[in-house]
Amino acid sequence: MAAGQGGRGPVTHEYEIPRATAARPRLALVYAGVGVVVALAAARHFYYIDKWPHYRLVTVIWAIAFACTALQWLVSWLERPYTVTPRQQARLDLMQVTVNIPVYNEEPVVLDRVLYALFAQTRLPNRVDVVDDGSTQEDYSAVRDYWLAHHPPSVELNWRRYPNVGKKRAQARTFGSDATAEVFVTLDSDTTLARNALEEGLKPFADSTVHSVAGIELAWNYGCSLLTRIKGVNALIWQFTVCSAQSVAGGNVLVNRGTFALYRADMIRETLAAYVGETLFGRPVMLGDDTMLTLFALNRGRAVQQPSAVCFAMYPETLSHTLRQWTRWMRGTALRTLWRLRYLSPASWGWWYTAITTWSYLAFVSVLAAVAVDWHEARSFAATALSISAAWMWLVASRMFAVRRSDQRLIDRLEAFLLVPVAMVWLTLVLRPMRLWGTLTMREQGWVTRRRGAETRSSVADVAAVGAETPRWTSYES
Amino acid sequence: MTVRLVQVLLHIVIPGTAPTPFLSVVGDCFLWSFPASLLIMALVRFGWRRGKGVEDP
Repeated sequence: MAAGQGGRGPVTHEYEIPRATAARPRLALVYAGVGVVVALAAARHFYYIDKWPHYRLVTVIWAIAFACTALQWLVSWLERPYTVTPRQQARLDLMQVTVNIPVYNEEPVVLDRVLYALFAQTRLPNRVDVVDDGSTQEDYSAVRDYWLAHHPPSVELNWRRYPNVGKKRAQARTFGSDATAEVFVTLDSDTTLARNALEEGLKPFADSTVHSVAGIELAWNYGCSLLTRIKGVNALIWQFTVCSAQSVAGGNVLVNRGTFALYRADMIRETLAAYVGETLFGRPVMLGDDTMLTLFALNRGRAVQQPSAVCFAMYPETLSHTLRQWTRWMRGTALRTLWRLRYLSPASWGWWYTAITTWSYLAFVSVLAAVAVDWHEARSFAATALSISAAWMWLVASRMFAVRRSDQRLIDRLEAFLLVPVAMVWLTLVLRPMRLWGTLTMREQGWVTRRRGAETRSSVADVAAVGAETPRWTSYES
Repeated sequence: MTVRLVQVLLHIVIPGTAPTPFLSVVGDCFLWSFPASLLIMALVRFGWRRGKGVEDP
């Protein structure tokens, strides 16, 4: 089954995985072009400040906002994949690497593909834990039996099934039971690794100050629908501008993708109790697993991104799924924003990014409300703001070309580039306002996706009980 | 002449717009959001204590 076909198809135990390569643009050439664009745009902002004295406040604020985004764009171009010396590589080769795959109502064919890609890595892990978190809709026996019999002999494969308690605790089953791991890899059950993803993802750990590594997430099913294309474009731009800049600026990545990330195991063990015991107004926090682990890493050292460690995730294909997933993310984001303001150093890029985006988001919400209330007066402003934002995002989106995948032709990449303004409008008019809903309802910590059929959200009582109970699990080991 | 030329070039690169009175409202939104965000930051940074609603991770 080739990329783009989503989760449909038979379980074949063999798949065609796209290759992905991180491009290395010539810095001098890039900076000449980027410099001209930034200089022209900056000149334009000064022009507005000078010529519109009656609106000086807003023109100055715009200039500041432009300076922040331009700085981020400039810095993001400095990102290069981490490389290692032969001696460092030899040390990395000896590292004990354990992969945790929490599974909940995943389609068997998708999980089968995930395991195929994992066992075809150029650098194999030492242990793989598949934790079935009480799936109610799928039968994994064919996939489980095949891989227990056919996985590489050098890899220890464990397949366990527990009552449903949520992703964080499903991960904790591995984190708490593996005393020898040096690196834990979190891998979603719908995420297919590019063939060299683990090898590349481990390289930043040659630097002892690095505590977590974010992989690059691309859409496996990019071409399935307009929604997957738009999400793919937005995700790519975000990773290669915001996250790239954070990575370059002292290792300040704020969000490791939950789909594929790597962590120093010692750091995870030290923070495990806080990770699974986090509560909000007395309720267990079920969401924001990836962002919490990233925050722990940031408090111990550097959290970086490796642009050459690529994975292919399944993106929502329907409007309903897209909106529910976004709501869930925004609930997690709302809480993590507070934690970042509280726990990160005000001297860090990450703290300032969070502080500025908090301000700009409050302003965005109030401007949106003002536009809605006074649409007649505001419509020309709204149209201009949207078109200027789209033009700017188009420029910033040039970073999209930092990664290439073998299953996309140049025409596909240009088509993605043409979608940028559509993706920006979707982000501005739908997703960003939804963040407000996520913030207001952040106490609601249900997973909200994959509830179709018999799937139900874990209750608070269920989660609280897990720490005390003797696990009722079914174990299958190689 | 040079300044005028640069201005024309800038208008070509980024489409210009006439200022509208609504810009004052936009300015006010940004202005009042600033102390609001400072208040949130101060509360989060110094206000919360363990056991007061949000548990410290």
